[in-house]
Amino acid sequence: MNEGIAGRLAKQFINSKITPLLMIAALLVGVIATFMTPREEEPQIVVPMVDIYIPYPGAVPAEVEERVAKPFERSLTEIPGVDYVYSTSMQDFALVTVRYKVGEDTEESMVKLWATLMKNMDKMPSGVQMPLMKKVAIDDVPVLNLTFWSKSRDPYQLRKSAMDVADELKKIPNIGDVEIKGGLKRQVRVLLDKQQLVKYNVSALQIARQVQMANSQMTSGAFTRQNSEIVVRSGSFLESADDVGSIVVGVYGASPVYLRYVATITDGPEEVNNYNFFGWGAASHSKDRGEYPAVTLTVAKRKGADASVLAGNVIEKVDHLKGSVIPAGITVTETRNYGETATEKVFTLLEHLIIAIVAVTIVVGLFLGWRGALVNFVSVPITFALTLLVYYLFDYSLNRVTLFALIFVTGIVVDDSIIIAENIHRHFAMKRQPRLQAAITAVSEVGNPTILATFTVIAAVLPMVFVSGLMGPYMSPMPIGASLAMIFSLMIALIVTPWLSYRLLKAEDGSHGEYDITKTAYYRLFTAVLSPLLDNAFMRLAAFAGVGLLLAGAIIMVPLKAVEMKMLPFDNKNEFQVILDMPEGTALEQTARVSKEISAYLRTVPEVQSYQYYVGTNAPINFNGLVRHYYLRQSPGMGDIQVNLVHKGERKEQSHDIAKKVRAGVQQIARKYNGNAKIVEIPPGPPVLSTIVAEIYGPSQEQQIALAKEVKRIFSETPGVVDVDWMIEDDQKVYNLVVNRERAAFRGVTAEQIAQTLRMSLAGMDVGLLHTLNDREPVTIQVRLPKADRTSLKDLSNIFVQSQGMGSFTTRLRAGEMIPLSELVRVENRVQDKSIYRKDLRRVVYVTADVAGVTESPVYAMLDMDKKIKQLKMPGGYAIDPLYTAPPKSEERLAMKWDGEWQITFEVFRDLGTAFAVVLVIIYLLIVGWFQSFKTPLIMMISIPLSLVGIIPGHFIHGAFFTATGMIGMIALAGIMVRNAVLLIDFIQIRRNEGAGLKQAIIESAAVRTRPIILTSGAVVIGSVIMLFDPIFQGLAISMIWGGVLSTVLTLVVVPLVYYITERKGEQSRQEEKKS
Amino acid sequence: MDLRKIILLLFAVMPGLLTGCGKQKPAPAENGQSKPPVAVELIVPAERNSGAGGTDVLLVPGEAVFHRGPLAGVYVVDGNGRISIRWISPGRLENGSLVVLGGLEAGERIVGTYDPRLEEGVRVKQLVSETKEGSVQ
Repeated sequence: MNEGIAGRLAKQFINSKITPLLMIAALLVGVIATFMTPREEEPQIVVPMVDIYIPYPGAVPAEVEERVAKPFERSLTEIPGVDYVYSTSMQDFALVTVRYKVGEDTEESMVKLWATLMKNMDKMPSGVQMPLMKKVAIDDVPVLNLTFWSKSRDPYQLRKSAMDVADELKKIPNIGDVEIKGGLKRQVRVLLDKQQLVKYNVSALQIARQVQMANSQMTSGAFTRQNSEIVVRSGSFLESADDVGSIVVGVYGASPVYLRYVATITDGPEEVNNYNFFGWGAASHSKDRGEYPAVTLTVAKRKGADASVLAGNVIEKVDHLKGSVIPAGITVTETRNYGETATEKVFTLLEHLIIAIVAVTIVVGLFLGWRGALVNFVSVPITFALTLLVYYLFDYSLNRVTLFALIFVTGIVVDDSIIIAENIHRHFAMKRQPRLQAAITAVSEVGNPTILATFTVIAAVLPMVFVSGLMGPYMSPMPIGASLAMIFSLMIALIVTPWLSYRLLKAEDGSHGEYDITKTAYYRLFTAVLSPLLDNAFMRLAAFAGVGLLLAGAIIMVPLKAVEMKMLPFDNKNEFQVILDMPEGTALEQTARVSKEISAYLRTVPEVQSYQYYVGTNAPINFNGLVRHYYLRQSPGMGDIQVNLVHKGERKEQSHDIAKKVRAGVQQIARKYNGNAKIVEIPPGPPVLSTIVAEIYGPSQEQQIALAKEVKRIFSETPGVVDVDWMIEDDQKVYNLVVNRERAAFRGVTAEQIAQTLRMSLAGMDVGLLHTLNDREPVTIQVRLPKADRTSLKDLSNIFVQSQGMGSFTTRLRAGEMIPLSELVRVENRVQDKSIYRKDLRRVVYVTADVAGVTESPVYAMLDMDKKIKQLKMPGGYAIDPLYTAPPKSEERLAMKWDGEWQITFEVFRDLGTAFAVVLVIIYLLIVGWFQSFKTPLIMMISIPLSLVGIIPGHFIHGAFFTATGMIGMIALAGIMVRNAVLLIDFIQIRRNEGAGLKQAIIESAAVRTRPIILTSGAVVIGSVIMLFDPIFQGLAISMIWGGVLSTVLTLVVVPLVYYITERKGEQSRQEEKKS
Repeated sequence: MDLRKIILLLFAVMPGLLTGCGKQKPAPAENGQSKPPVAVELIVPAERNSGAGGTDVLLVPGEAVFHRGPLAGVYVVDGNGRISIRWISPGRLENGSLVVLGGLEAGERIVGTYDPRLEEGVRVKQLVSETKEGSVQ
């Protein structure tokens, strides 16, 4: 027999001393690599994303769009590697977001962006200020949140302690950004007294100028005298509130007017601009019904650092600081620890991995005895050790995707060893040759088709590398990990397994007689099953018809919605968020009150451990919030409620079910106050703007909004569609104070003076810093009217501005006269212009929603709504035909495109589908190359569609969605099933070449190959069982288990039958040839 | 394989242990539910009034407002007589009443005089009957 590569390798290593050394070395490097690889929960995703804030004070949204956003967008799309450009044009400024393609180099992207921006700055209209560029990266997401809360301290004190802690924490290695959410900063507030200002003839602008000028100090130079230099300094900084109060801001009569005469000066917390409260939920078993002022300290990690190590270090440090930096009375509670969850996830997966290996070993043991099992058991850790080494070398982290790839291949990597060990076992049992020779013959016999088979499986999984977009990083470790593991397992099967088998396997002592295939149970079984089918054409037809019916029945379950398609199912997390949007123009306290009421409801939910609401400041973001720009949620009408559930081990319900359960209650409270509340869960895969997004394009904003309104109505009427919202602000009342130019000019007042005075009075103006030494944050000096004096237009009208007199060149009146604003301005009531959103150079209006309840998959909800949207009558008399894959070609007509999760689903299934097609071609080519026949590969590939018979009903039985992971299972299974067919037909051909008749060869090979086929498929099935319990990877398990079982059984019958039919004619001539 | 598991376990347990030290659940405070209602002097509704400037403003008694550092709040009494803190945005004082700029609505009943012993979630009842209460309800 031709030994081939396999035989030669086996011969080389079967008695070599190197083999055990290789095994040990592989194990060692694997163990070391495991420790050196950083651990985190989510896979590392490099999506350079940059927010560019471009201020254009005074411009209305339409102008901002036309002058700033549009030109910027146009130039940004020229940059290679840019995937999307979004912009929002608001009153006074534009926010342009650039998203690069996944995997683009971050630094390079920033440089390109900066260069492009600078190139175009000269084209900006005057008045546009310098843009602010902010890189948004996944490492900005805090891995650890510590909530400082207290029953006795106020937000001001809390923030101070948190700042002190943050300062200490920064000393820890590998720590990234440390931020404080909520609390109030120290500020020197200069609260103007309007009456006194008038009395002393001092204007607000004058005060600002005086404070700025008083607050300066500089080094003037130096004297040299007697060989030494004496530095001269002049001026002094303001160091306390008293200093500020003692500034002379004017002269009244003959005496100076000190600032304290005309304003109240306080040194302490700034004006309340956020509410951040913490409370315990029902699951904490705390009877504490109170909620306490809180401040959250968020800790991000440096890129590539291990989240769990960092979190451990931080917590340790914080424990040390208790009692010293953290005063008594402040409690520090951990409200997020991704380090812990990452470790836990990694740990669970490792546990699953071990269970899978043990289960597979037991199965092998049942067939080959404990010695055979041991041979296989040893090969798995070596394979994984090498794979982990490669992970480390490729800079992958240990996360749920990379580890999952290992579990996924557990069942597959043992296969090669099983096939080899089984055949050696069989040859030992046959006792036709001496042991060493028998082992080498056995390896030569199955080794070469095993190489082919391994490559078919690799060919099946490897094309998944080409999944593009955000889903890519979630997928790519899998094909790479799996392919490498396969190659290692093949090498081990050819080098280590023969060595181990030769030493461990024993021929059964019982049977001393010559091995006879016809006496085995498998042979009898296949004679009974296959003979009638081979002999009787009618029976054969009936069998094919039966299989065809099964297949058709399985496929029809998809259009019947017995099995629904979805991108990824929800994971079981320990948190969710409530996002509250009050109508624009809602006061901070009102939003706080609604948030409090929602929280009060949420805390009664039995699974809620704790909650924290943030109003006026955003909650610490997660990856989802990063993509959705939740970090910009800082206006008074927005509230974020972070809900922490008890650990998933301590509750029965999945987080998704809890979120569904509370949705109605939460939204009812929000609606009572005209607010809109959304329950936001952490998506299992890449985050999107919203699960369902309808992008509405059109010629004008009014028409877009009109259509959006209709679409929004359809959304809310469709069952299963929840959290409906749109990105159109509510009408917000605006008082437009129009300056009477002539009168102002006549009185010697400029429009700018009026604008600045108003801004200082209402928003306040930071006029400088207090130069203190011990504060962690800069202490600003702010000039503003007290809150009580800025409540209505009436308050505004008795603000005074000072005439510049002749200095203004427009009047001859005396300078310094105080002129009430009411004389110079006229009030217009207006509605704030709506923000303008653009995506990839097109104006767009977004309508967003989520799905929960009746439909869990957005695709079906979209199809439902499609029908209704098509019925809408447009002003031009045309109908809207929602687009699915690309934005409309023209904006002349109203158009709608589905986006959100759909876009990613579409891309993933498109890429996976393409990958699958490529897989089929590659497998075909591989087998053509091996068998030198164009026909045989087709016979083998028949087993691929047969897996559907198991996969689809399997999903139905489990009540699961057919997801991307299910699809991956299906693709991998294609490789495995073809491998089975390869081994089967290869053996038939060997037998036929040895002179056996076609029928005899078929039955014999079925009988001989059944054991390894069942063993390998069994290993795949058993190895996958553990994944059934993982919410995300369940789909893959279902595909592998049900598809594997059904396809194996059918392959063993259908493939020999088809082979028989195709070879029958050739066989007759062959037999005749033989006879002659 | 087992060695790796054990060492990983140690790794995982370390932050776990530290976490255990970090988490301090507050001692269970007394529950308002089981206790009889606390008597308060006055429960008054927040009134809408035309303020000094002629515009409509919302007024609450000055004594009803308490301060936690920079935060100002009142105790709002719900239908079951249970109180909860409501943070408000305070305006100016007018004749002993405080103008509320945000956080409160007209007609909401509040505890008329702040009592430091009051706690979130406690049930209250009024000592003296207040005539205004009926008219609002």
